[in-house]
Amino acid sequence: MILQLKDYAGSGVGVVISGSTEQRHAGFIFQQNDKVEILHLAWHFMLMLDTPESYRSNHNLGEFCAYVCDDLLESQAEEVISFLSMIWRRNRNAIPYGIGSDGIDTFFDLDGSVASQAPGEGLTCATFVMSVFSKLGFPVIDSSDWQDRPEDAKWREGILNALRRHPHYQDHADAQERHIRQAHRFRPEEVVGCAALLDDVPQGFLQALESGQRVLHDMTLKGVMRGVDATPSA
Amino acid sequence: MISTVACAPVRKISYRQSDDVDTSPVSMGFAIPAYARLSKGTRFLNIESSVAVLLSYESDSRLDDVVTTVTRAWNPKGVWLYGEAVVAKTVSKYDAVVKGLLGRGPVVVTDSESTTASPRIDAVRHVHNLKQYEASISRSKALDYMFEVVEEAFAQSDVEMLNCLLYTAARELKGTTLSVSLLRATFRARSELSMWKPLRDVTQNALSGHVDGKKLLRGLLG
Repeated sequence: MILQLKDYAGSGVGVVISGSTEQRHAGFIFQQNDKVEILHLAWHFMLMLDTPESYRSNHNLGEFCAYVCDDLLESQAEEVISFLSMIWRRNRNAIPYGIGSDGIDTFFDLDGSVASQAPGEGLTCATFVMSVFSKLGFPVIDSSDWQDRPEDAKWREGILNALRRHPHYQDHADAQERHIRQAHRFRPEEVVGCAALLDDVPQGFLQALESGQRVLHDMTLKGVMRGVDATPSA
Repeated sequence: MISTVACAPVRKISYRQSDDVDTSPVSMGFAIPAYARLSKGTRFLNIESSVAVLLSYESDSRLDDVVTTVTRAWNPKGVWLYGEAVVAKTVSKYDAVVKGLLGRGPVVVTDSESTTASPRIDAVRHVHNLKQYEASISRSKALDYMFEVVEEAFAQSDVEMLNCLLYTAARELKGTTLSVSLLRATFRARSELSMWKPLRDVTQNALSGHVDGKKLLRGLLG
């Protein structure tokens, strides 16, 4: 059975994606207290909670596609939303940005705080989404057969260079050097596709690749995909 | 011993607290066990049985027997609770609950109202509050409360309270989606919480005939 991406219609929990052909950005979208909000890890120590309007305008992220996590029951969507709210209350300026992929499942400590603030630890916008789902028992990707792609190392290098532009983030970037050749890269469109098409079994590499392609195709169809954007944000 | 109770909001109950109650067995119409009659600081609270059962959560097993005896001896609609100092404190703690039940809205017990501190009592209080929030406001509100409680307990490394919470939920939230939510909220620490699997098993069993039972427990059974 081929699952279909379903646009987020303002209730439950979903995932968003925006960006350019070079770089996409992912996050959560959900309704709470009659307001639609977007929670996303924008950059190093920058977990953001936006309205759709502020997401589009304040961070230069532009238009986005939003998909509902359709297979979640209403009660499960409420669990995810409550967990996201708690993450936001406890971690709004505490989540480091990092390209590593080893600690996605254990990134958040038992108390919902970031487990380790040691240099080099961190999540991307996409692995933030994975980590939240994983913590609640809804793993969206099975990384056991994940494969590195030729351009992934270059992307990781670009991220570290961007971190180094900030004088205080040098150590953090240096500590991630080891990840350039080792870490898996989970692309925003792949994570968003797998989350939107969440099923009983997490998606492996090939399925995730296909889901990601569908997301990219949908972004293009809807005119959300921008041209080249040099600012790495995922 | 933890009693079971349907903890829907109770309104317009008859409530009277007696700080200086006549403790003679004659006036109460039944025989009080000697150890209770002789203890100092005994307090009495006359409330309707639905709330009395709530109060009896905090009784130790010995006093639970007393409560049962008293319930049978007194009248079917009301119950007297009494006990020694520690239980009296617990009763005092729940005065706020009982008073709150006279009004409208959820009746939750906060830490500041608590005059006792034990993981078990805290767990019972939290489960009570969860039910109150769900019944009176929304399930989302209950979940927000749940995650705060759980995360705070994790932050304090209060494993004992979390185990008590899971244990209490296995009895009080059996077969509800709140019990599944609690499993999910504590999922990441399941290997460290001895009561996680028992709650999971109880919940799985209770949901075996549920139309969405399998999906509700997705990710929790492995």
